[in-house]
Amino acid sequence: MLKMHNLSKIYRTDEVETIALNNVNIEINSGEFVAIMGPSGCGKSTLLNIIGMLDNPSEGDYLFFDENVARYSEAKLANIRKRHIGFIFQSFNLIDELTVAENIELALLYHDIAASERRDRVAAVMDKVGIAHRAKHMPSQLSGGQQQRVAVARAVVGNQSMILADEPTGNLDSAHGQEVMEMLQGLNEEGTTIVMVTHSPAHADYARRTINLFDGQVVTENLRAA
Amino acid sequence: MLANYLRSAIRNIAKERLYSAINIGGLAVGLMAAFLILLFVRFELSYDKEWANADRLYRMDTSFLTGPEPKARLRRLSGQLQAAMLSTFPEEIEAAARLRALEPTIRDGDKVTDELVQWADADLLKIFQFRVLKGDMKAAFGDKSSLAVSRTFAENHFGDADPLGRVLNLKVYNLDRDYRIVAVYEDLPRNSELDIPAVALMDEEAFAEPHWLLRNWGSTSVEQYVLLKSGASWSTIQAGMPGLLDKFVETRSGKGSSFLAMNGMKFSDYHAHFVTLDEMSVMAKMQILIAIAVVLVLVGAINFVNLATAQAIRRTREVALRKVLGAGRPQLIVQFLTESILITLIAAMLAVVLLEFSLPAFAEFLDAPLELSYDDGVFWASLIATVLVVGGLAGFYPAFAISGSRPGRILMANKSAESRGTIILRQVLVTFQFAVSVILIVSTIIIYGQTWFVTNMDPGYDRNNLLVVQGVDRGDMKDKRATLRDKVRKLSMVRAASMSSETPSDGNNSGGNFGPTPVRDEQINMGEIWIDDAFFDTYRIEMAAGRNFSGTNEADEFQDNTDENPVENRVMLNAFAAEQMGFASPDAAIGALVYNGTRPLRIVGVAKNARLQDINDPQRAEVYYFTRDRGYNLTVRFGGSPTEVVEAVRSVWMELAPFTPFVFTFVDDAVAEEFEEEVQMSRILTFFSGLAVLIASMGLYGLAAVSAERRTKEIGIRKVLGARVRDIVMMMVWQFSRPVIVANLIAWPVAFFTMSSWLEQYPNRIDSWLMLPACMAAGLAAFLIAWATVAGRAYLVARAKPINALRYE
Ligand SMILES: Nc1ncnc2c1ncn2[C@@H]1O[C@H](COP(=O)(O)OP(=O)(O)O)[C@@H](O)[C@H]1O
Ligand SMILES: [Mg+2]
Repeated sequence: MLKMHNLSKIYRTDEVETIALNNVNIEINSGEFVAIMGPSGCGKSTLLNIIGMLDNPSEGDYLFFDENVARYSEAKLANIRKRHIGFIFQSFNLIDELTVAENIELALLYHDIAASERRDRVAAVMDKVGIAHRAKHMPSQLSGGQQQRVAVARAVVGNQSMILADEPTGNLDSAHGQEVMEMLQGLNEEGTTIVMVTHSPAHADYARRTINLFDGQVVTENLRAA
Repeated sequence: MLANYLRSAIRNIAKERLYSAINIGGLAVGLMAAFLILLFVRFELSYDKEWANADRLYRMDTSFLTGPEPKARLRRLSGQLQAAMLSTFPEEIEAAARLRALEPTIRDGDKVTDELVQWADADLLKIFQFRVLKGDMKAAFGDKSSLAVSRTFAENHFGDADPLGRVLNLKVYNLDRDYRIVAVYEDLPRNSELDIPAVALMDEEAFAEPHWLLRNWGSTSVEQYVLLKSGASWSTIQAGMPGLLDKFVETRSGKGSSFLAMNGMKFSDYHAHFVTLDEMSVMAKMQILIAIAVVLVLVGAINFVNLATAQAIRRTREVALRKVLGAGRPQLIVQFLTESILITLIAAMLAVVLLEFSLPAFAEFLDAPLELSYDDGVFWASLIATVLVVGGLAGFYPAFAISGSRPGRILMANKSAESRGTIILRQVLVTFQFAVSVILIVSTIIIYGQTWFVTNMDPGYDRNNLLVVQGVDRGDMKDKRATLRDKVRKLSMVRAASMSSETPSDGNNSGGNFGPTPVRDEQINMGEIWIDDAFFDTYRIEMAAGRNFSGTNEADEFQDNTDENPVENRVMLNAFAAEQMGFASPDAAIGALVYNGTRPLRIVGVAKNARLQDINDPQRAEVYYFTRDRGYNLTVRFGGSPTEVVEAVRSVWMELAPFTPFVFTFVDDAVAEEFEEEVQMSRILTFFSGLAVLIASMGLYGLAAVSAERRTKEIGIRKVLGARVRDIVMMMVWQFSRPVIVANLIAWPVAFFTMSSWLEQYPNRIDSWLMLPACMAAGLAAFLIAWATVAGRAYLVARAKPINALRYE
C-alpha cells in the first residue's frame, strides 16, 4: 500500500534545526495493523503525519499505491487524503460547537455526498461504535472514551481504507483504552489498514508489527507471531 | 501595584500588535473625527455670544402675511420699523440700529470696484464693540461723508499705506459722494453674523428713492438690531408689535398687522436657530454632527470591546495564573481597566496628532477657522473625560467577563471558555456598527441623489449658455441699457439677449396681489417680472397659449397707473398663475381680464412653467409685464466659448460706461451655488460615514482574525477531513454575513424614515421609492466590505497546513 524510501524530515526554525526523521525506510501493506513506538520526541507523530499526508517530507520518496506523493501540493494531498485516510488523535479533536452526529458527518461533508445518504451512513456508523443514543449531544457532555469512539466513527464513516491513530488511548483510562483497541482490532479484521502510535506495550500487542523509532531512525521492527 | 498593571498592560499592547493597532487606530480615527466635530460645533455655536450686552440684544425679522403659505421669516425688513419702535417703546429700548447693505461703485482714482458697504445708524456703536486700530470710530458717524473701514478693506485698497484721510468716491442709486476714511477697525470675528467691511452713517435723504431702499413697509431693506434697557422685557415689545404695525403701516385696505408681522430673536441665538422656512437650522445640523461624533467614538469603542472579549480566551491563562497566585477579582478588574484606559489614552494622543496635521485641511473643508489651542481648558477637559468614559466603558465588560472565570477550569480544560452572553454581545455590537454604517451610507447616497436631482431637473428653461450681466440700471449704464442690449445682440456669438427685472437665482423676487376680480380677499400673492419681447426666446421657454409680447405693438407696453387712475395693461402669465387664477386651461385665460389690486390686466399669452426662482422653492405663479427698457439685468443666450462671450460683452460695456463695474454670472453657476449648503453637507456626511465604515471594517478584520485564531483547531480538523480553502473561507464569510444581514434589516427602515423626513423640506424631491435602491446599494457595500475583510483573513488561515493547527493543543 505504501512505501517510504530514505525519507527525512527536518524542521527549521530561526534558531534550531531539528532532524525529526532521518533516512526512514518502511513499507506497509494493505490490511496490516502496525504499531509505532518510541520515546517522546523521537519522531512518531511526524512519521504518522507524513504517512497521513498532513505534511511533506524534506527528503526522500513516499510511494502511496505506487504514486510518489512526496512533493505533492497541499491541495493534491488533501484530495488523496480525504478518499483514503481516516485520523484518530490523542485529544480526540472533535469540534466543540457541533453535536456528535454533526462531528461525524463532517467527514462526509466535503465529499459530494447527498444529505440523505450522509444521514444514513452517520447513523450506521454510530450504531457500530455504540454511541447512537448520544447523537444529539455535544462533545463536552461525553466521557473521554465516548469522545474517542466518536472520533473513530468519524475516521471510518467515509469508508477509508487506512486509519492513522496518534496515541488514541493516551488520554483514556485503561478500561476505555481497551474498548478503543478492540474497536480498532475489529476494523482491522474487516480489512482496514491501521497505523497506530502508542506508548503502551500492551496496546502495541494488538498490532501484527511494531516499528521502534529512536531519534528519528527506525531501530527495530518486530513481527508478532501470528 | 499600578506600576505592575501598567507594565503588564504595555507588554500586552506590544505583544498583540494587530489587535492593539486596530483598537488604537480605530479609536484614534473616531476620536479625531469627534474632536474635529466638537471644534466645529463649538465654533458654530459661538456666534455673537461675546457682544457686551448679548443678553439684551435682539435682531428683528419679518413675515409678509399676504404671500403663499407657509409664511417665511425674512432676515431683512423695512427701514421704517426702527423709528416706529423708538417712538412706541421709549421705556424699553436703549439703542437701535439699522444696517443697510449696498454695493456701491467705489472709485479710488482709476481703480473702480463694486463692494459691500453698510450704512448704519449711529447707535451701532452703542450696540456693538469695534476694536479701533486707528482714527476715531465716532467720527465716522459724525457726518455723512466719513467712512470707517475694516483692516482687510484698508489693506485691499491701500496696502501698507496709511488709510486715514484717504478719500473714496461712493456711488449707488442717488448717492454720489466723496467719503473720507476716519477710522480703521479690526475685522469682525468670523463667528459673527455681522458683515461690515466698511460703514458710513445712514443717509435718509440720499436713500429716499428708490423708496424700497428704506421707506417701503413691504420691502426687505435693512438688518434691524435692538438693545433693550436692562430690566426691560422683550415680551412687552413683542406684544405691542401688532398695534404698532396697525398704527404706522399705511395700506390701501386692511390693517398693518394683517399684512406684516415683525419678530425679534436674541442675536446670540440668531445664527444657531434662525430659519426662514422649515429648512434645517444650524443647531439641527450641529445636533446631527454631534450624533455622528458619538457614533464614531462608539464604533471605535465597540472594536475595543469586541476584540478584548474575543481575545479573552488567550488571556484566561494569564488570569488563571494570577488568581492562583492570589489576585482577587477587583484587582483583575482594575488591571484590565488600566489597560483599556491606557489604550484609549494612546488613541486620544494619536487623535490629537492626527487632528493637528489635518486641521488646516478640515478648516478649509468646513469653511471655519478651526484651531487646536493647547491652553484650551474645555478641549482638554473633554479629552480627558472622553478617555475615562470610553476607556472605562470599553474595558468594563471585558474586565468583568475575563476576571470572572474559575482558574481551575481554565488550567485543566482545553475548551473555549466563551460564555454565550459574550458571543451574543459581540454579535449585537458588530450588528450595531454595520447598521450605523449602512444608515450613514444611505443618507449620503440620498443627499447626493437629491442634490443631483434638483441641479439636473428640467427647470423649464435652458439653463446652459446663459450669461447674466447684472445691474444694467447702475450708474452711467442706466440710460444706455437699451443700447447695450442692442449692441450685444449684434455680437456674433450671441443668439439672443433680453432685459428683465429678475433672473434665475439672483435673489430678487418682487410680487403683488393678483386675482380674477378686484376684491382684495380673492387675490393672491404672485411674482411680477418686467420683461422685454425677447425674454422667452432667450430663456427658451415655450408658449402654452396665446402669444408673446410684440416689440412692434405699443399697446402691449406697460403704462404706469394708480388705483385712482387705472389703465388696462396687457400681461402674460405662466401656466401656474393661470391655474391659480381659476382658469381651466391656459387657452381659457387668453383675452380674460384679471386684476392687480383694482387695476385691470388683459391676458395676451400664457407661457409654460419655468423655475426662474430659487430651484429649492416651490413653483411660483408669475405675471409678466412688457417693458422695453426697465430691466435691471441683461440675459445673454450665447453659443461658443463662455470666456469669449464675457470678453466681448465686457468690451461693449466698457465702451458705454467705463466707470461702472461690469458684473456678470452664468446662470448654471448661480443655480449650482444655491446648493452649496447641500453639497457641503453631503461632503461632510460622506467623509464621516467613510470614517465610520473604515473603523467598523477594521474591527471586523480584527474579529475575523481572532475568530480564525480561535477556530484554528476546528479549521485544522475540517481540513484534515477534506475541506478545501474555499470551503473554509465560505464558512467564515457566512459566519460574518449574519450580523450584516441583521444590520441591514435594522438600518433600512431607520434610514428610510429619517431620509424621508429630511426630503420633506424640499418641494422638488426625489421619489421615496428611490431609497430602496439606495438601501440595497448601501447593504451591498456593507456586505462587500465585510466579505473582503473576512475573506482575506480567512484565506490566510485556511491556506496553512492543517497539521500546524493540530500539533500544539
Ligand atoms: N512544527 C515543528 N517545528 C519544529 N520542530 C518540531 C515540529 N514538530 C515536531 N518538532 C520536533 O521534531 C521532533 C519530533 O517530534 P514528534 O514527531 O512530535 O515526536 P513524538 O510524536 O515522537 O513525540 C521533536 O524534537 C519535536 O520537538
Ligand atoms: Mg507525538
